[in-house]
Amino acid sequence: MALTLETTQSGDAYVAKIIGESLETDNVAMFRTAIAPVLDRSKSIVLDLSLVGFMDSTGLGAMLSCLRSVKAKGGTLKLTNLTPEVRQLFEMVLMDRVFEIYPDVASALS
Amino acid sequence: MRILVADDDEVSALVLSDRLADLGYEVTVARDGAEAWQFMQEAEYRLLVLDWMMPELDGMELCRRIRAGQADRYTYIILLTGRTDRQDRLEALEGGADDFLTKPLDEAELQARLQAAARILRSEDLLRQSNQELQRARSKELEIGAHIQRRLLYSPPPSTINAIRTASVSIPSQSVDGDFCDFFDLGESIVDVVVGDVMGKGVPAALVGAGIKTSLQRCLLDLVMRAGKKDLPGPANLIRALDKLVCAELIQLNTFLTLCYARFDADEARMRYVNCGHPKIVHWQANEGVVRLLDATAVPLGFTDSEAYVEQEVTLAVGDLVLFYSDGITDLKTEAGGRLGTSGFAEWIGPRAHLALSDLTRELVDLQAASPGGVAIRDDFTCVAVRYVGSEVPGPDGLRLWAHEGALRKVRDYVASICEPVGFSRKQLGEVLLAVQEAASNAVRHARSGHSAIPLEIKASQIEKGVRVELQYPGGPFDVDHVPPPVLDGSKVGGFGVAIIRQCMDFVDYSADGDSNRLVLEKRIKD
Repeated sequence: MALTLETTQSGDAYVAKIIGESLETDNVAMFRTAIAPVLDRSKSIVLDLSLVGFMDSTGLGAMLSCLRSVKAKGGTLKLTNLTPEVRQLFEMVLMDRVFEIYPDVASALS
Repeated sequence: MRILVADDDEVSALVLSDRLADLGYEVTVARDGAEAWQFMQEAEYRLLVLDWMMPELDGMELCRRIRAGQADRYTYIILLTGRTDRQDRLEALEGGADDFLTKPLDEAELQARLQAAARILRSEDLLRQSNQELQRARSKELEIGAHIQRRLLYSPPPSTINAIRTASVSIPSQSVDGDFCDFFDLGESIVDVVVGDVMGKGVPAALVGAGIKTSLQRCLLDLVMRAGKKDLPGPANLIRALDKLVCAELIQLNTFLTLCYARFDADEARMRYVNCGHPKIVHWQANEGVVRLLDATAVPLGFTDSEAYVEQEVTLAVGDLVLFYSDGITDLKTEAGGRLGTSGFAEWIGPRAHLALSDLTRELVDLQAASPGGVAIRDDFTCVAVRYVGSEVPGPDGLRLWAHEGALRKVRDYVASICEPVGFSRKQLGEVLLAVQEAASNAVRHARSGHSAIPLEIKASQIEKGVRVELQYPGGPFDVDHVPPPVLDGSKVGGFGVAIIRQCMDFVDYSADGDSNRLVLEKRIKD
């Protein structure tokens, strides 16, 4: 399934909304390519996952890669608008303790 | 017209130059042979009057030098000489001079010989023009040949049939040959493929190829009209009809052709085919991961007019790949110096058979490009690839898929549909689908090293207050019991798959039987 990013700037922060139904093995590469320039440009990144109804461990792995990349530069990565299925996945492998998760973009930016 | 005069005698040169100018020529004067040669490098002179005896480079030597070089257009050379003896004249003519004039110059003779020169040069111009036109006509013929190849001999595969995916590669040789292919879309679940090769080269072979294609279409139409809906003419009958139609002509044209005609039936999951002396059909079986070669079933067309065309049948399993190709492939030269051959090609296909057809065709193009040997030597290179993927729709026995990463969605949708009546909570359903996704993507990624797709069977069924999902696939064993636990502090990006499966499902059982893997997952609603 095709996947794209819609990015907007809010002050110093970049807000990237994933436009795609799922983040899984067959489109993770697309995600990595799309997020790479955002990771280069900013230290303060907010990911909006409201449209992502399904994520598997490969998608989670991509999220972790982003986190590490951002942390290495001393920046922050915040996840927002997780759907119940995606939240479930994060809680299952305790990733909800590793990531900063917010209910919506506004709270992540404040 | 420009004339170059070379004479070391200044007075002589001046007199000649004046006379030529009066006659309307544009004259350039060189003081000796070397200077004359110099002038010739700088501009084009078609008419030269050279004194024989000159310092630096004499007329005779200059003449020889001019003749030795490759000039675009002819240069007419008149040698001036005081010598009158026969031997000298012969030497002059043999050395490349076209004519000569003796000094002192006779006015009338000068004019007459110049006119002769003009005639020769005009005639040479006409000849050159003719040659250019001939060259253009030849290129045009090559163009037409290539056009015939592209339009008439090669037909693109259909894109509408779902259960059967096709792709083809057609690289014509420099001189165009008799390779051809065609596809007949005969309904929702049937597609026919024909691949052939007319003996010989060039436009004649190509035209026979185009003619055969048309004849075949006519035979098919005839037989179909007569048979009615239910009884499509089979491959053997069709080729028999074609043979009746064209054999006499082929014999008269002193040519023959080989071909394969195959019918793919997605409903029956089988291929029926006739192979008339064409290279062996390659059949890669997805489950076994093995390449089989299918022998010819008849002789080429045009050999004899009393051939019994025999048909064979092969069962197709999901993921199976069938390749039809011409000897342009088997005749490819290898690095080792021999030819690729049928078994060489079968070996080449083995590790690549899992590839998506678009990637496979790309590899075929690279294979042809990498083969040593000049472009001019190569044969037409044709290959038609057919992958049977099945209906991709779940049946009572579950879902059978040619599974690559993009197909996992279909697996989830199928399992979700079976779970509907069970009454799982949203969370529980999410867990089931996640576990199935992890299990299936593990299978695709690890079952066959280096392969991007495998045949996968999934059967989901309702059990008491729950669901049971069974996955079956070929390949290397994967023991869920011996996978290291995941690292959960965020420092590692992989290794979660199995932990997720265990957490999500109540029961996980993995077993292997030879080359076949089986994973059973169960989940029940907790009260």
